[in-house]
Amino acid sequence: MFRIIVSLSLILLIVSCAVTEKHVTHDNIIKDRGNYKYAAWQPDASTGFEAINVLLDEVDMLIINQDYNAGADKLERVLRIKPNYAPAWSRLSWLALQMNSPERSVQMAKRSNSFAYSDPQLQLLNWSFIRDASKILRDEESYYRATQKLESLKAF
Amino acid sequence: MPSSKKKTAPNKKTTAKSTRLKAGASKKRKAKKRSTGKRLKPRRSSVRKKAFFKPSLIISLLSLCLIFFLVYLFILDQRISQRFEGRIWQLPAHVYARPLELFVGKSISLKQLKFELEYLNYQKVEQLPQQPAQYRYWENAFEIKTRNFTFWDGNEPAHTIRVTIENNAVTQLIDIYTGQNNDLVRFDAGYLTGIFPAHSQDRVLLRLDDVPDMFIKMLLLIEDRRFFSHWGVDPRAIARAMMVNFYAGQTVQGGSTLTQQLVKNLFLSQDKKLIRKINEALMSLLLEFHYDKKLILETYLNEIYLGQDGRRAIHGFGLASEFYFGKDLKELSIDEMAILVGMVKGASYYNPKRNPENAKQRRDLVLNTMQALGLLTVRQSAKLSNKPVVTAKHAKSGLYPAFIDVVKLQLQQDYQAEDLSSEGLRVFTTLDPYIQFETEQAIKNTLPMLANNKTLQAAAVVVSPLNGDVLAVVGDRNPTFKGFNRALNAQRPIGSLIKPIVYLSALERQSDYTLATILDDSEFIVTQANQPDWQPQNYDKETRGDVTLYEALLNSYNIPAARTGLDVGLDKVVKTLGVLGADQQIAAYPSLALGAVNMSPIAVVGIYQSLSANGFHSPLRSVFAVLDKNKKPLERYSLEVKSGVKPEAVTLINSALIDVTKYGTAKQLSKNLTIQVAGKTGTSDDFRDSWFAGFSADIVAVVWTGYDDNRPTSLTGSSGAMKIWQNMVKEIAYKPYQLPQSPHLSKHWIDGKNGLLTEKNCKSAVELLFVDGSQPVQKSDCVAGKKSGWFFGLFD
Repeated sequence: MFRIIVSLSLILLIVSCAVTEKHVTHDNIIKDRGNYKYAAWQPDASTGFEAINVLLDEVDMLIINQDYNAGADKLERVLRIKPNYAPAWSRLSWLALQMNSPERSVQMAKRSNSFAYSDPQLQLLNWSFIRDASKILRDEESYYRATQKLESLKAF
Repeated sequence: MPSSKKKTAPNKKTTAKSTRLKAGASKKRKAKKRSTGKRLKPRRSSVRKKAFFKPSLIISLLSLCLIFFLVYLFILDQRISQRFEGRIWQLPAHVYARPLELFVGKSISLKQLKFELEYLNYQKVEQLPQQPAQYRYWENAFEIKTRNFTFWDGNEPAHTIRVTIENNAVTQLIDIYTGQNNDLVRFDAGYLTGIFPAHSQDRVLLRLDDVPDMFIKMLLLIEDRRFFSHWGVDPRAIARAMMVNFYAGQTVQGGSTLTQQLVKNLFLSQDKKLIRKINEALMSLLLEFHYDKKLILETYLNEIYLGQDGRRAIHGFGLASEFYFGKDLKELSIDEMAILVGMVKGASYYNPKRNPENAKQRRDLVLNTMQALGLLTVRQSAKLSNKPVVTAKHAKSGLYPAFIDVVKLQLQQDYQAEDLSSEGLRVFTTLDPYIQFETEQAIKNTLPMLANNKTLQAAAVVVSPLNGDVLAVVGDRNPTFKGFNRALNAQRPIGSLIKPIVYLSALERQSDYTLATILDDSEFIVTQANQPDWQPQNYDKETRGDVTLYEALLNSYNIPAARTGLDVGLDKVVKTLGVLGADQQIAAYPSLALGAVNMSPIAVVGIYQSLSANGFHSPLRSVFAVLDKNKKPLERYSLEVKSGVKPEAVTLINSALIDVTKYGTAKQLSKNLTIQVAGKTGTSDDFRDSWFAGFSADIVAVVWTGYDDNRPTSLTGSSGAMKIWQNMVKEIAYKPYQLPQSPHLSKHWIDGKNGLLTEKNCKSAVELLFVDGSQPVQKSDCVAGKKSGWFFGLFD
């Protein structure tokens, strides 16, 4: 009898994991700090500036060491090199979430989206930040809009 | 009482007699006293005389003196310990410019890089730079050794690099020693000024460990050879000085120890009274009794007065090294150290900037003394003595009063004024020295061409479109004038600079307004309760019937702008201004739509920054970060953005503002600039104010010209402020403004006469940007009016 209960429990657990929609939340980003980077942030050859890659490597080190302020400073240096570099704005949005600044996170994600018109993957990520930040802010309208946007982008 | 009466009576009678008689009477009285046997008084007197010399009295008096002396010593001691155990100095805040960063692809001209190196007091050399802060260049290549520098986000080590610049961009950045590419190099931040306490003393604190051994040896050799063996006062040195001075017949040598010099500078006046010398000696002994020699030496190194820079007094070898040679003390060569040590004798007479010949003689004396004591070889000494006295080219402090006003305004939100001038803060600002220089030059060189008087004033503010960083501020036609700062405090009507905001408010209503919307350019009167009627007029007093919104903005027509403002609602215009960054109370009168609102140039630049960033407003920022005196971060001002307008609507406005600089009121710009910019002219009533606000991809700038007494200038926005703007932007902007790409916007050909769709070859066709779905559906009958005849017909 005990074996049956244990087996059923395991099956239930596996099934529930499989059907649960996997989405990035504030909490699991923090838990997964060692491997926090999103594919949408990966620098591509189009940045045109090797300096950006150097700074982003430094940002990674700082974030792993939880020095978020210094990480944000480095990202600002990236933006001074290339103001329309959407992944850097997106990282600032993520950092703002880590630093409990949801309003700032929303604005940075919007700014990132304003440069990411041809990058649906990054837009998706930014909208997920907006949704998470809106949840923290208890801004239902914004949360609903972000969720809808995420759905439409996923469909796209 | 009766006896006294007897005595006074004869006196009254003898008042007219001679003094000789008085003397006679006196002798008689004395004789009488003796004869009456009254000998007590004389006896008492002799007893007193004897008592006066009694040892116990002497001891008492000496004890009293000793007590007084000890009390006095105690007071002196208190003075010393209060100063030494509290904060010895009030340290001014040191304000720095933004650091220059180089990387492959960085936009920078040869002219700018040369300027930056000179600004940072880098020394031009012929050979490969060996020391920090040296460079050489030929054609388009520079070899530079940068300085090590501590920023708010860590230390930047020195780099030795070769930089190649082609077409105003860095094309190669190599580490000279490894031959490898260097991806990113950050230069040290240039010193701007200090925020000083009342006494205007400035210093950079040194720790003894940071001072080169050679420097300490040199200083002690010249100033106090027995420093580590005396007790604060050196009797041998005093005796030697007395002998030398006696034979010379004048004061040629002092016998003061370093401790005495320190005591004199910290606690006493500079006069030469005996009491001051006694105090100096006593306090020196007390100081040595209480404190370690190393602490005394370190304090001396930081206290010593070494010259003047305007109002600023240069104290300590740390600051003197930076001020005279543009280097840290540990980076100085031996001959430069000798100059500083030589200055101790007379900071003014041996000042290497003002009196290089005197400084050289004194330096050579120091070097010879070192050689005589075996610290230098004869060859070394001769070689160093042959070197010329070279100092840092210019002192930069106090050059940017208008910008510093903006910095103080930001810092006052977090710091008290007293802390700013006493805690030794290191303030890293956003000032771009090159942009500041070119902005000042544009104003200085252009104003005389606009008016042949010296009272026409100007102000300018330049910020970064990305983040609202304030890059340059000029508040007077004389940029170094420390008075009324027009960039910050002049509140003037902004005129047509408001029109983009009025139309933006309209374009946000995408279903009602597009760039092709036809507006009514015919006269009308606004009647207001308890107010006189208001009738707007165009600049040329003409009316044109129907015009497109685009054309109205391009040519800055007043009547369509006023109608649009009233149609969308003045409250909406005020709200849009607020979202774009205007943080002042604005009254919603009808004339607001034509710019009857007073604003400062810095307020206007905040609004136009939002336009340049496609509606994302970044509050203006003049300070990145603040460090404490130990270089530990205290405050960091991070990038902020706020959005509140539809980005697509801003893109539409910006597309029209680009065309303003090509075909509209600012069309001269496209002829005189090599890059695409967007902007708007502004002129207030009766030509009292001339404005231009515009942006490229790398700068947003606003310029104002006018008179302080508000009299007419006879200048429009394009004939006045725009000329300054153009001369400035020609030098500081590298990147053309490009409209942001958006999947929701598309271009269509529109007939400018009726706002309907047309073909490219229609005579009055203009290509306008639309939010998808908002473009006109109806087609114009312009087909007949083709642009040209048979040639284009071939292609049709």
